[in-house]
Parts: sequence; C-alpha cells; structure tokens
Amino acid sequence: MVTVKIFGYLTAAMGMRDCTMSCGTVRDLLEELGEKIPSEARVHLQDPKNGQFRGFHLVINEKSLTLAAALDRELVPGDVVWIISPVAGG
Amino acid sequence: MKGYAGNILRVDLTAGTTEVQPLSKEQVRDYVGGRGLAARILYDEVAPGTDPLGPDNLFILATGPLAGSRIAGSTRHITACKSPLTGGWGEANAAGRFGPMMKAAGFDAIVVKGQSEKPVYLYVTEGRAELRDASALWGQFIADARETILQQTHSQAEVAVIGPAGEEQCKFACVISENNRAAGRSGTGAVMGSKGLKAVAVFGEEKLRVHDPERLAQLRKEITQMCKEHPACQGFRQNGTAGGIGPHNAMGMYPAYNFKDGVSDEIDKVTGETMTSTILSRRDSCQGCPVACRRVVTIADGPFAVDSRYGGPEFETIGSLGTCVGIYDLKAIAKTNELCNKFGVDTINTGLAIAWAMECFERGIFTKEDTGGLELTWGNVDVVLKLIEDISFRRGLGALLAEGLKAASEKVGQGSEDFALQVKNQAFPVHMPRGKVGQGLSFATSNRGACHTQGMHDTNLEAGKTMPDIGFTDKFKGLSRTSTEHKGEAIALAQDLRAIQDSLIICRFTSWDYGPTPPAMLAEALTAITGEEFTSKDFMEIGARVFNLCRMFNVREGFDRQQDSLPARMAEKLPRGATSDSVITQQDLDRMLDEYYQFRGWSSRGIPTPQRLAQLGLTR
Ligand code: SF4
Repeated sequence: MVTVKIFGYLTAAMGMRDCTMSCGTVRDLLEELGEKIPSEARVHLQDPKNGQFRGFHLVINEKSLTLAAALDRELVPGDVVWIISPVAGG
Repeated sequence: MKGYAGNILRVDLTAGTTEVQPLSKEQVRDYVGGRGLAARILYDEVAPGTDPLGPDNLFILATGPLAGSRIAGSTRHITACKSPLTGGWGEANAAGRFGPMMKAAGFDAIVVKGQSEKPVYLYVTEGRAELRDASALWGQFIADARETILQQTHSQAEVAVIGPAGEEQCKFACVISENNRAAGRSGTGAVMGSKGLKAVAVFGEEKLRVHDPERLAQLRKEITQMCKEHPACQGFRQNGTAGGIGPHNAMGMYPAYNFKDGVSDEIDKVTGETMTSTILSRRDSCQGCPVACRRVVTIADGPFAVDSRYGGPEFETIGSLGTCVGIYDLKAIAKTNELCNKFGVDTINTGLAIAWAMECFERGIFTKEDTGGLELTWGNVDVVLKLIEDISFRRGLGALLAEGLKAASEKVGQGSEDFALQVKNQAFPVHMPRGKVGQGLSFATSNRGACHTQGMHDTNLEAGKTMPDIGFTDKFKGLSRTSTEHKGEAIALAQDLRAIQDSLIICRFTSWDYGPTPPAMLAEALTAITGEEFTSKDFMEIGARVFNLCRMFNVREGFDRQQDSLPARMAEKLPRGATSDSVITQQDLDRMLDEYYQFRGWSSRGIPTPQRLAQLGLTR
C-alpha cells in the first residue's frame, strides 16, 4: 500500500488528511483518490471541463516532483505521497 | 480627473508650511499612482548622495486610482523615500483604510521634506492640512499615539504613525496604521522619525468620482464573487497567510534556524490551522474585501498576554520570529508580533537580525561579553523579546542589529557575512530561494532588496498558472520550482506586473497570480473609473516604466550587478526534506541574471540601456 498525506487548503476541501491507497501509477492514485472524496470536492483535484489535474505540488518519499514528471511513475508498496495545495507567499 | 482627488499635498517641515499642488496629467497617464507616482517624484527631487535621514530626503505617502472604488483589495497605500536601510529606492505598502481615507481627505499623495525642530504630526482633512505639536506623543507606542490623535482630530480618521523605533531611527522602523497594518520594509518609519514627524492623520468624506459607475459596480460584484470562490482566497480567510506554513514545510522550504533548515519537526505547533483552533479571536478585513485574511489573536493572561489591538502573527512573522530563531510556541510568537507592532519595527528584518546573532553566538563569534550577558541560544524567548526592545530603542547589541544585516555582518566579519540573510541590507523574507529558485532571482534584483512581494513564487508556475496576454505563456507552465529555466524572463514579467499592481494599488491576494482577478479585468476597472482606455498590455508597459525608474534611482546611487547578489548560504545544501537537492550557486545566479538583464534590455552590468529608457519614455 501507498500512504497519502494532504497539506494546505486541500485538506479541508477534500475532507481528509491522509489515507492509504493501492499502488499503480501516480495518475492511477489521483484518479482513485478522486473516487474516494465527496463528488463536489473532485473539482479541486481535476478540472471537470477537460479532466486535467489541477496544479498542486507533489512530494514522493521526500522528493519534489512536478506533476508532469510524476504522473506515469509506478508507485511501490511503502511509498509515501504528499499532495500539497498550491502555495505562494504570505 | 476622474478616479483621483487631483491634488498632491506638499509639506515642508523645516519651514513649517503646507501647499497644495495639482496632480499633472502626465503623472497620471505614465505612472498611474501609488508606487509609480512616488517613484517619479522621488527620482526627480531626491539627488543622488542625499542623506536618507537628512532634511533633503522625501517621505511620500501615496495611493492610487482604485482607492475608494471598494473593489476587493483596493485599499492599500504606499510609503516611499530613499531608504536608510538600503541606500536606494525605499518602499513599503500596507493594507487597511488609510489609502481611501487620504483620498477622501483630498489628496492622492502627501510629500514631506525638511526636518521639524520639535515633534509634529500632520492632520489632513477636506483638502486642507495642519501641522500640530506632537511633543507629548513622542515616545508613545503605536496604539496609544493613534488613540490620542483620533481624540484630537476625528474619531473616524485614520493615522499612519511611528513608534519608538522610528523615533530612534532604527534602519528598519516601519509606519503603522490601524495599529497592525505595517508598511514594514525599507525603514520608511526611520525617515519619518528623522523628520520629527510622529504621524499623519487623515479624514475626509469626499466620494470617488467615477466615469462609469454602472460598469464599475458590475466589475466590483464579479471580482467579489471570484474572490469568494477562489480556493487560495478561501484558504487565506480560513487560516490566514499562515495557512501556507504546513505546505511550505512539507516541501522542505519553510526556513528554520536562520535558513540552515527548511523542515521543522514541531511545525504543527505554529501553523495557521493551529492558530485558528487556539488563539485566534477574529478575522479582520479591509473595506470591500471578502477575503478577511488578517488575524486578531487573544491571549488574556500569562507571560505572553497580548494587546489584541496589535493583531496577530502572519506567515512572515511566524517564520522570522518563530522558526528562524527556534521558537515553536504560537503564544510566544504572538507576543513578538505585538512588541514589533507596538514599537513600530519590521518583523522580518528584526527576526532575521536576531537569527543571525544567534548563529554568531552558536559559532562563538559572539560571546556573552558582546551580547551584554544575553544567552543567545536558539528558542530563548526571553532573549528574543529583550532584543526586539533593544533593536527598537537601539540599545546594546540591538544598536548594531538596528543597522541591518549587511552593515552588522560587515562590521563583525569572521565569515558572518556568509550567513547574513540579506540583499542590499534588506533581510530575507521567510521564503527559501533554494526551494523557489526564481524567488532567489527576485530577492537579488528587487529594487528594495530581498523582497518576496515584488517578484514571483515559482510554485505558481509549477502549479501551471498562465496569463498569456501579459506574457505568461505556456512555456512557463509547470516549470519546476527548483529549475532556473526561463526564470529570468518570468521574474522580469512578474516584477512589472507587481509595479502596476502597486501603482493602482491592488492587494496581491485578490489579484492574479495569488488570487483570481486578472490584469485585464483591473484594466477594465481603471477604464470605468477614469474614462481613459487601458488594456493589460498598457499595464505591463507602465509596470516596466515604473520598475526601470526605480532601478535608475538605484543606479544613480551606484548600484549595479554587484548588488544583485545572494548570500553564500544559498549555495549550501539543506540537510533534509524535499528541497535538499537544490542550491543556487553563483553560476546559477549569473545564468539567471544574464537572461534577466537581456530580457529587460539592460547591459550585462545591469544598467538599463539608453534605448530601453527611450522606449519607456524615461530619457529625462
Ligand atoms: S486580502 Fe487581506 S490584506 Fe488584501 S485587501 Fe483583503 S483583507 Fe486586506
């Protein structure tokens, strides 16, 4: 299993802080996550108009990856995926 | 002129006189207001080499054509001068109600020169101004001075005031309105102090004159709705700017221990979410803004009891006076915030100066003899509280720190310059350039020294934000936050965007790219207000003009590529976390600077070329 943790305003928007998910690619994981959260929260993950993932940040096993670089990556048991709300400054 | 009060108030403190001067069409057309207007006046009237704390420097307050429109985020004002901290262009702006009130009192800008023999404050109302004795107010803390001035003027007036730090001419003293809206950076408060000007109070009831009220009302409604629905704005409302702390820490880039680390194990103790569930008593807003990002905290008793009038800590203060000095106690951080606002001193410069001193102590560069017996150990709250006071009143070690980090570290030497987190003597805000590489370039090239609000956060590019009509095309989309690719161009564009935003003036959080309102929509609003046609393309041209003018102010003072630098620590790897693979070496910075200067039409030394200046109408 893969551990998923969510940070920032996505936590409240998606109604969860963490969960465990089955493996597959990052794309599979995000799609599966979209099924898990309330339907009205899916808009924060994917654009309903074109199905594209929103611009959040990904950290996998403490390494930062852009979404484009991460989507096809195969996850293995024990991986830790952090999904982080878009952030700028204070 | 619709959208403007139409007048500039000129004050000569040496002569004790005031004079009303009409705003010119050229000032409005080419510079719009706010930062642009202040830059033109400062460039024309403050000769190179002027002593920032002498009578010939100017202190300027300015607002823009959006003030009074009740568009979300339109209430800001700017303070400007030659900075005593950097020796160059000095600027700080703040939210609140001062800007619209100044315009309603009859003025788009107030320009102060000279020095008063005894302390005074300026009261401006109904197009008139009066200098009043402030001897009894000198030495008073921010909220007390404000309260007295409200009693002496009008209960609905607003006051931009300095505290003891400004009076003592601490180089990073700020100007505060509404007790907690700090125009924090660049030491504009020290310039007020040097002039003997304790405060400027404004009261007026003049309504904004608008060309097309119906169109403006429609735009206002749409912008409000967009802000209500925008996820980042919702986040700012829920947990304040401090809502960004957890995500930054997760990405390994919320600075701790003087930027030696980007991850804090105890971060959950100081996040915005924790503040919301513990000490937060109220969310505060600016006129017409649905975001309400401001925090008010209540701590009624105990060692860190605070006066709620001074608001609550933001993202920047929690980093600079919390994690960067090793404090992980929100109540203690709220106390540091209260003291800084009470004394009128910038939290960022103060916190980073203390963090540097703590590292000096850790390395044995400072001993107890140098610190007046203070144990400058990480997380020592009592010492931090004492040093905030000592910096504000320029006592003991505080007097050295009050000069700014470049000045202090050059005096102390012994390699301490390498971990003095500053550019042009302005301390780093709590953003990690190693995790936001373009932000490093922003820090290096900002006209006021290390600044996080005048460039761009790489995370916004990584998150895929684009705005093709102002140059943010798909080529920037999804760029890694730690990559240098295209960052020279992106930062130049972002700085021009910020320059027009600060001339209008509009809040970062309600406008693209932090928030929702695109430049094209603001151009439409400006058209509706003034009756003159503006497009987003015009905006970027004006932004470039304003940015280049501020650069020329610095060039005239002897700044060039050499000052567009970053401290050596940026080339050191972080010990852990999701940013530990990234550094900015001198070669990385040089590569970005070359691209940046070229895109800007500057020489390789960082000087705007005569051709570029001519294109921008800046030949005089
Ligand atoms: S977002 Fe915050 S600072 Fe900006 S105008 Fe709104 S309440 Fe004021």
